[in-house]
Amino acid sequence: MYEKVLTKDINMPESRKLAYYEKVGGYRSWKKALKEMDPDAVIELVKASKLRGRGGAGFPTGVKWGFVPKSTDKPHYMLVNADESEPGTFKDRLLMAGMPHSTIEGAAIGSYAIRANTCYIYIRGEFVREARILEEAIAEAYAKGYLGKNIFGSGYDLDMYVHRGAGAYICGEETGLIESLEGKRGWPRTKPPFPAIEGVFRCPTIVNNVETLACVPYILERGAEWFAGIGPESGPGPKLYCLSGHVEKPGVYEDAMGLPLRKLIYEYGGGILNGKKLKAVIPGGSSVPVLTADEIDVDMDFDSLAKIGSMLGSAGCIVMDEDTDMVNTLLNIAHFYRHESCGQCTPCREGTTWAEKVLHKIKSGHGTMKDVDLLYEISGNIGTRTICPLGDAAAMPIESFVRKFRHEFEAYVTKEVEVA
Amino acid sequence: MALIKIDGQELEVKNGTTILDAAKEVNKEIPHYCYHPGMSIVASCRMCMVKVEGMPKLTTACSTRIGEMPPQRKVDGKYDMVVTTNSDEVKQAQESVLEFLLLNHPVDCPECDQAGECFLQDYSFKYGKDRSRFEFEKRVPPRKDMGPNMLLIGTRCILCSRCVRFTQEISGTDEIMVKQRGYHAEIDLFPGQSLDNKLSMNTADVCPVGALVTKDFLFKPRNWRYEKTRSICPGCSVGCNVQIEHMQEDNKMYRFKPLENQEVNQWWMCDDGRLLYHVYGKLNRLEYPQVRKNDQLQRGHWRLSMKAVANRLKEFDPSQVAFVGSGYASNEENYLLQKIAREGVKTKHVAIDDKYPREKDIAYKKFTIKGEKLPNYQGAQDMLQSSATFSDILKKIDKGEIKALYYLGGGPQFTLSEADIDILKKLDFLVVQDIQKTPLSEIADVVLAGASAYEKDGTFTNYQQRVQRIRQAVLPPMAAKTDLEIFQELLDLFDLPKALRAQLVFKEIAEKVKGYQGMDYRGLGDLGMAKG
Repeated sequence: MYEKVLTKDINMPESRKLAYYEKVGGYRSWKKALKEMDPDAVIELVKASKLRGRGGAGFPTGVKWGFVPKSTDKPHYMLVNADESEPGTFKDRLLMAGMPHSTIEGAAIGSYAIRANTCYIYIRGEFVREARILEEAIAEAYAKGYLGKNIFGSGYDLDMYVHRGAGAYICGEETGLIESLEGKRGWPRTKPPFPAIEGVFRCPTIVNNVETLACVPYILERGAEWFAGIGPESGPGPKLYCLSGHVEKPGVYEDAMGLPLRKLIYEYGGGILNGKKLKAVIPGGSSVPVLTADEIDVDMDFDSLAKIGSMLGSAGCIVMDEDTDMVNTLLNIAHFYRHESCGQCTPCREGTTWAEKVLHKIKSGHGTMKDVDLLYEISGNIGTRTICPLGDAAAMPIESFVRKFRHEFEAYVTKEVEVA
Repeated sequence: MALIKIDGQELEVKNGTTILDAAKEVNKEIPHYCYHPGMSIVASCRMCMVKVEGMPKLTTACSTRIGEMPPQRKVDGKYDMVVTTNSDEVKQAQESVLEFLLLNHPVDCPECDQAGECFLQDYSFKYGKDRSRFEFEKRVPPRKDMGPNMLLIGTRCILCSRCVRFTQEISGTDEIMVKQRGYHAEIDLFPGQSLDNKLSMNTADVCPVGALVTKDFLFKPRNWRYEKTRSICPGCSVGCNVQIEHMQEDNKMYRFKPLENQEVNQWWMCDDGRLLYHVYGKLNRLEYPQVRKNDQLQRGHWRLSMKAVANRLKEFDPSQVAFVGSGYASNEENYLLQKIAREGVKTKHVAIDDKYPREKDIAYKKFTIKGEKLPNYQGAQDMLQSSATFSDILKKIDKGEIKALYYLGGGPQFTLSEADIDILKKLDFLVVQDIQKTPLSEIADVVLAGASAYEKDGTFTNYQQRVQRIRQAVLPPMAAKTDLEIFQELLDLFDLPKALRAQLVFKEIAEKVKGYQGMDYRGLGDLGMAKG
């Protein structure tokens, strides 16, 4: 039986207060890091835990921290990516609102590990409440001496700031986030140089997801072996799953990495809403390839989902019942990515719009079979051809919807579906 | 050094070279829009995608740098990178990017000034599809008046962001930006701003399509109809390398564009220089020689006018004759002027014209417009080999020590004061060789109609001591002659050997003038040479 870690106390009335967080063991890891460990030891421990980034890409966190150059005159920066905007994803929001100190503690440990004296929490503009909660929590941490100058007499200084975005999905992409933090348009940068070498203000920078950092205090407290023992070997640890769509009990559920998707939907989610049949599931946020009802016997972890051609992404699981119109659903998704494309790269800027227009045409009953092929082709010309993964994010749903539910698109063409 | 292979062709390149630059070395053009060698690399147009062995996706040639690989990562045991630029996969990617770019493009080539030198047009022919599959209404961003010299035709824009980067990185003036997001993104001015810096017209050069256009060139004849002459801008002492676009049929200039010279102007030039030909065009030009008869300047015959000059100059004691050279005139002209003075007339009074205001340098982030507006002040000083100035000569004229003056002009400005003119009226004999009618030419005894910098061959020496060739684009007006031609007559009349072409004069300069030794006129090439 899995015992909750990240969200164990999250529903307690005072869970967001520092006093409560300390009572349940909070900031012990931070003290331990500062008093007993040198930064490299922290990095080695996180490497040993096999923690992989929870933002979507699943890059090993300790390895990423290790990329920061050891000898440089420039200041280092830790950025917390709290720009959670992927449709179907709402786990970071819960963490920040429910127990902000775990994120702050994780970010502090991460800052120490990469030798940063400044940490920015870049939070999605719409998260007004969460931003306020974080600010209050940071103020508490300063007051208690967990942040600021010469923390616990260690000689280590750390300042932490909350920076609110202006509501662009693209600013959740790490280099887009960096540009935005610098006060510029959120146009992702071409890599290399990677942020660990040249990030915000052209200084070494690490960008980590909220959930990733929230795991870190527990790794220090309970050890890398404990963490590596939870779930699959290749990407272990506690995981928050966001369940939404046509289920009886949507919400955020914590379990070990590698939770069977069927269990998530039918046990945690209580099955399909109103006893209907399942048609499709998007397992990792709207950008990942869709799964059909036949494909849900898969474990929710990085490798298992990759093996069947989808992705864990942000673990934003969107469930669709038998009545769902897949053309309409895709139109909704395509609209989102068209709206959020930053406009920098040609394929994404032009392709997302074109795809949406073609979809609109099909949905309004004016489409032809050629349009269905065209849609598929456009997605192929966007994916892998852009600076940042937004191009892939826009292309993957189109590609998978058309491939797996082609008959529904054709039904609109042949007028089998009554056009509203 | 790294050993690479591009489409089967082996070559060695320096570490850090981009694939795009490496391909250039083997004469392979990789199509691109957003990349400009003078600005930061954003890799956003996605046109330059190529296949690199070992990389899962196609990669952008402009931003991917080549470096030496450790032995175990070398391809075939020896290559640091193996690049394919012409596979079906690469071609398909290029074709798809072009298709995306053309979705909303108005394809208004028939009325677009860029047609003929448009990368969208060229690449569409080379790599594109012959029809559009886009059947929806096109996006129509508005036309915008960007500033005194610039116009934005938004429909043609492909959002390569070159213009924005230019104002950020080269001029440093930050007037323009990309506004809105995604499909609605467009180039615009920041509120309250105008694209009015003195480098603004470079944004039209960097624009790979016809979106940013200069008002000066708007709706002028098609760019392929012009003759193109490489020369030097005579606007200041920087000596920007320029391409003069002109027509033989009407002997007119239509457009100036900067040419790359890393030692001088990189890829840029200022708007003042670019539009200077209008200033010259509006001058009240001298079109034929004039000789004063019965206190009236009358149109003369060239040979007779020159004879009048020589004969009169010979009447004076050489110590009473002075020659004033010009920073607007070429090295060759100034050289011949002092030669006639020293070897013909045998006077020591050779001076340089210093009677013009010096402005302050205008320094932009990566380009400086010099306040020294004379294009060849440095060269004139070198050639005249004299520390005397026109001001010194004026004092001597005022004292009655100098009675005859040969004045060489050539610039578009006239800056002598009335007091100066009053002094010059004391002369017994005044020759003015210039391009425009001025209060000075009005009081001259002989007026010789010369040529502007656009109308002759020769060399200029810029403020960095770099000797560069100017080339004749258009002919001097009417019966005016190039100054070199005018001097031929004088050389002859003073029994000095003729030097008919700038090349021959330069040969003599290379033998006799300090700093120019060993230089060769042809050897100066397109980019010029630094003085020794």
